[in-house]
Amino acid sequence: MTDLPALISALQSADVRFIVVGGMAGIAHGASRVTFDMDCVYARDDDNLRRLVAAMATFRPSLRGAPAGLPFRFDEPTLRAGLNFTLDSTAGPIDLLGEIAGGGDYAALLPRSIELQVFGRPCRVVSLDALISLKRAAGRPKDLEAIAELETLRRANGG
Amino acid sequence: MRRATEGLIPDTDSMTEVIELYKRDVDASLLRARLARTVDERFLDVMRMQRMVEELRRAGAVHRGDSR
Repeated sequence: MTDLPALISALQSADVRFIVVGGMAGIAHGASRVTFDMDCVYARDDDNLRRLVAAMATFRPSLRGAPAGLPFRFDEPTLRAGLNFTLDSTAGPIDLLGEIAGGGDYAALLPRSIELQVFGRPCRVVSLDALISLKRAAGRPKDLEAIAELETLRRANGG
Repeated sequence: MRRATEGLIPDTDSMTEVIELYKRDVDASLLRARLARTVDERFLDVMRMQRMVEELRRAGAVHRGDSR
């Protein structure tokens, strides 16, 4: 299970700059589809990487789907050397994305996000319009049904 | 080797047609119920659903004698 209050609290307390995208963003906007991980686009400047590593340390992140025993250190050099990470953690699965198809990096996505209060904390979530365009850009067949629901939600919201 | 674009659909008219077909089956009453909840309640509902799915998976694995 994804411990959203713990994850969001830890990331916000450490002033990590991130934007929730994917299925959890859809849920924030009212989608009914259940998802099992939290996808975040994170800023890749040195300060943010340091904060992200510190915030996630308590959740002991590991590479999801990697063979047992494969060495992995969730630290700043690892984040700097990579871009997108699919992780397991004690707070549940979390995907940390340096870039996302159709949305670019954190700075590019920031104007296309909104700030919500989530469990008493401010949390940036990609806007419904942007979420739809990201899913269209991803072009995954499994997303088509989700896009139909998101576009129906947009219409219900007057969009 | 699997190519990154393999299995992906370009954002075209045909993609839109499929999406429009799916819209026929979107449960509007379910969406209205979701929109009536606060953001926190939506997330907590998902966590409850995740817990239920995990329990069903566990029960299914026990039934199959699956020790994984």
